[in-house]
Order: sequence, then C-alpha cells, then structure tokens
Amino acid sequence: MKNTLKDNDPKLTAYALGELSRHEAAEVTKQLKGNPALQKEVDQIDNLGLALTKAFGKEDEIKLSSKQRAAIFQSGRNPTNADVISIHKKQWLRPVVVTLGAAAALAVTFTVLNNMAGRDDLPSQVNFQKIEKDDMLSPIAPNQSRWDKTSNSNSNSNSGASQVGSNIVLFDNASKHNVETMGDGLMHHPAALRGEIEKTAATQSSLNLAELSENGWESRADKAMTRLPLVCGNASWKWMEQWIDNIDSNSPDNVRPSKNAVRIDEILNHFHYSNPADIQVGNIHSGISLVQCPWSANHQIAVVLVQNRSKIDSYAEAAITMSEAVSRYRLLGYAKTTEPDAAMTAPARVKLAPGYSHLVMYEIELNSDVQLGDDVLAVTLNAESADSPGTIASNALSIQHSNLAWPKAPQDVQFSLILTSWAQIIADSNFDGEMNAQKVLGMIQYFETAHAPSSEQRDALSKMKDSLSAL
Amino acid sequence: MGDPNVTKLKNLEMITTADELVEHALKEYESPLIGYAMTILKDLERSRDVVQDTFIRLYKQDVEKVKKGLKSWLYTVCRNRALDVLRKEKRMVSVDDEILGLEHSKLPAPDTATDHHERIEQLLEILDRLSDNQKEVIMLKFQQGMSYDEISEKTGLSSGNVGFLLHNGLKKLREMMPADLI
Repeated sequence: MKNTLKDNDPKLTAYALGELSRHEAAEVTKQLKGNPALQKEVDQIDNLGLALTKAFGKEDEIKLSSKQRAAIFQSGRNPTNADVISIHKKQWLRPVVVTLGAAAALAVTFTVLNNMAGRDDLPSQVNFQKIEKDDMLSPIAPNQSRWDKTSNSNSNSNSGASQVGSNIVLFDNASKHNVETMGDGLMHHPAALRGEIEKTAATQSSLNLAELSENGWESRADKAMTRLPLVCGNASWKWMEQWIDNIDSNSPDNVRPSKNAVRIDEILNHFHYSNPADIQVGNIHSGISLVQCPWSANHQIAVVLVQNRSKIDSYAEAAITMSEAVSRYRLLGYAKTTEPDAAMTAPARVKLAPGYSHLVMYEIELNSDVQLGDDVLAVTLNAESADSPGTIASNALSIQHSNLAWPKAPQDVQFSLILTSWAQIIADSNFDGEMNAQKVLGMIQYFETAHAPSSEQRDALSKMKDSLSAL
Repeated sequence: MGDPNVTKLKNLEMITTADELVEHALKEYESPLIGYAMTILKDLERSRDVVQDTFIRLYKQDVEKVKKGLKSWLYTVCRNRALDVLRKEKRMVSVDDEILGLEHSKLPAPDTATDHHERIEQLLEILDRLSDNQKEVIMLKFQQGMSYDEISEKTGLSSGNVGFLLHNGLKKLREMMPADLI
C-alpha cells in the first residue's frame, strides 16, 4: 500500500475501532509510523470511542486502543524462541567485504565473516586471537597518542609515513604496547578508527587503489540469510571531495573519479542519519525502509540503519533474511578486491559507541507474483541486553511490500538514495536500470524543495550537483 | 469497510496459526478480559495494559495446545499479570480463585448514577444534531456494541457505508462535544 491515507479517511476510524482485518490494520500501522498528524487523528478517534462507550454505560464493551492492538500484532512478527534465526547457522557465513581506503598505496580489504563456521557457541565466547591467527591478520601498533586525548601532539611528528604494503599500518608505531589488529579496531572502536582513516584519506594527493568489483546478485534460493555489515572505511567521500574540487570540465580525463575510489558503503556512512527506529534491543535501535528503487522501477531498495542512541557502548550484530517473495538481491557497496594479500577478517559483532550508526542498502528483485502486504525481509538484531549486562538479547522485524515511492520515504532515506544513485553515475557502474546525471539532478532538486536539508546534506548536495554538471 | 475478499474469522477448531488464534481471541475475549482485569486492578489503563500483555503472550504459545483451553488460559494469564502489577505497586489484595466467575456489581453508587444519567442526556442531545443515519450507526456501535458487519446486517447499509457514516458522524461529534464529555 502506498502512503495514501489522509486525515479524513474512513479507514482511520475503522482502524481505531478495531474493524480492519489484520492485514489491513498492519498496512495502516505502517503508514502511521513517522506520521504524527495521522497518529494524532487516530488517537482522538480512540479517545472519543472510549468516551462514548463509557457514556453509554458499556464499560463491559471497552476495547484496547488501536496502538495496543497494533503492538499485539507487531509482537507476532517477532519470532518466538523456536523461530529465532540462529546467528550460528552457516547461512550467515556469507562474506561481506569491507574496504578501508586509508592506505596511500593499497586499498585494504576486509572480509567480514561469520567466524562461527558451524560452531554453536555464542558470539561472546569467540576467541578473537584464534580468528586472527587463522586468517593471518596483520598486527598494527596504534599510536597511543592518537587514542589518548591528552597526548602531546608532537609525539608522532618524527614517526614518518607508515610503510604501506600487505602489512598495512595506519598508525605510527610509537608504542610497543597495546598492539591490536585492524580487526580489533573495527570491533571495539570503529568510530575512532574510521575517524583516523578519514584524516589519512584527506591528506592523500594521489591514489593507487586496488581494483574493486561490486557485489553481484545473490539468489534467495541459495542464500536467504546474510549478515549485515556494521563497519566500513571512511575514505571515499574525502576522495570525492578532492576530486570535485579539482574537476576540470575541459579535461575529459577528469570528469569522473577513479572508479576504485567510489565506495558506496563509505560514502553513505560518512553522513549522519536519524531514521525512525523500528526495533530496539538494549541500547541499539534499527530502522528499516523498503522503497522503490530509483533506477529500476521493478526493484526495491532495503535501507537498514543500525544505531546506538544511548550514552553507553554496546556490542551488536545483525542479519537480514530474505523471504520467498524475493527472487534475488545484492548488497550495494562493500566491493570486493582481487588483491590476493588484502583479505583480512573483521569481526561481525561490533561495539557501537554512543551516537555510532551504520547504514546498509540492498537492492532487491521480487518475484512477479508478490502482492502488497507480503513479507519481503526480516531484520534480526542481537545486542547486549540493557536489563542483564553480559547477556545477549534479540529482536526481529519483518518488512512488508508496500511499493513505497522513494519521494515518500523518510528524509534521510531519500538522501541516502540520492547518494547511492549519484555514486553509481559518477563511477559509471554497471547496474540494472536507468539512471543518468539528469535524473539524479532531478532527485536532488525534489529533495531540496520538499525538505529542509541539514547543513551536512546541503553541502553534499551542492558538491554532487557540481560533479554532475561536468558530466 | 473491509475487504470483501478477506476470509471471515475462522471457528476455533479450524484455526491453525498464531495470527488466526490471536485474532479470534481478540474478537471473543478482548472486552471481557478488560472487565475482568478491572475487578482486580480497579484501573482502566492498567487493565488494558495487562490485557495487551496477555495477548502478546498468546502469540508465543503452541496454537494446538492452547486453543483447547483458550478461555481458561487467557483468564489465568490475565489474572497473574494483574497480580504482578499489584505486587509491583505493593497494593496487595486478597483475590479469591472463584473471582473467575464473578461479575461486577451492576449497581452504581448513587452519585455516579446521577452523573452518568446527566452525561447520557448531554450526549443524546448532541447526537440529535447528527443526521438520522449517523446517529443510528453510532448508537448501534457504542450503545449496542455491534461490529460494522452487524450494523450493516441490521440496517441494510453496506459495510463501507457504515464505516463512512461512523467516520463522519464521529468527526462531527468531536467538533460538538465539550471537552469534559470526552
């Protein structure tokens, strides 16, 4: 169902009075999310219905509110213990490539694996040192001064540039203590590590990047479940800014950036998002949108945001399960590399610091017989329980097909779709569908008209427009 | 209102899924359970919360096992949840197990009876300002407790028309009713 409800729709009264079927009610519930005006209308009808029931002395006919009924049926979409998708199953072993582009000479590519490999242990029991050894991680000695805010800024001035090779060193080797791997960095403090990557990327004047290949389509029949990546690098947007600043439309060689520098995952996650949250586990929230693909009307885009809105660090992991409504899907970004010695392991479970968020997109092709309201995918979120520290709690949410047009999506989801469309154009990617510079400019124009972009978004949109004008 | 292609609620024997079971249970027991919780908690909002929680727990049950004793299960869980709420609030009351079969006393206190009568009078006066059709469906819905389908059957109006009349009638009522009556 498209977002078609107006505040004068009789369907709202039927919903408030519990007269809709379960499926119809679920559709209305979806439309109420993120629409406070409509929700207020429903609340007022609820209150009036209750008042009338009491006024007629029919207290024995009092019903639950529409919100309470919605919560009941929503709870039915969360799996019971018997249904919980086991994160230990091998189907979650689909590798996801995370590319960190901070190194001057090489793109470091990490592969996010489910390191359980058939074991039934809980994630908290994983021996990270064993994983490191098995996957030949290159140890990195972090510069203590960069992690310590009170350090003397001169302490790393004589260290010189790190030697770049297969043993990628991001930080100056000023300390022999606290040696940790890139995987450690990604797992335990991804925000800080990404900050370092961004700083390094900003200083690079020339790039010699590994060849990347985008993820291909996965058949749902072969791989219904996949782990959601919760980390990525943070160099690509900086490189894009540098390229845009130096665009010379008179020089055909410079109207596009290096294809290997355009990393959708990094570009997306350079920005901040505040999508409405759909599920919560402990201190971790996740918001999920399923929207028409801007470049292919027959496809959908699932936009999943995982974020820590609390003031406490919290470990989390997440997965996506595609339903039988899905024919095939592909992860956008996280391009793989063919560099033979660049494969590294990063943890699938990540510590999300307060304010940390991560946005992931999947392009989905549905089967031809899918109906509106059919389940398309489920997101499962595991995180540290807020009530019982040290234990893991789980929650899941199914998302139904509503064929929501992208202009009807939440503002931040629209922005992320513009970024992705733009990135594919400037990289001249091969993708199913039709998209060109003019269409992206049209998307930007719509967004600027329909919303009040944040300063971060305004700046990015301006740069995107400049880059597209040169094409 | 409602999709004519939607299958009517199944009989309990034919129910096989949790969704169908909860939908059936809501239809049959939603209001009675709220009334029952009120006998323990004496508070409408807490009672509704407890009943909501009861139905959420119903989702986690084995459908085939619970549907054989659905009513008993619902009342037992509702009772336990209500007592949990009381314990948390340290308002311990003595609850007789036979309360399962007890009903509210239907006799209101004299002062509330007067107030109630006055409110009805006020409400009927406002309802009189609606169209005959709108008033009729509102009375059938809230005074008689009928569903859209039942109202449709009684009045000969289509279910969609019933929904339309109710929606517009309630909207007008909201505009006309004083705040203290809502």
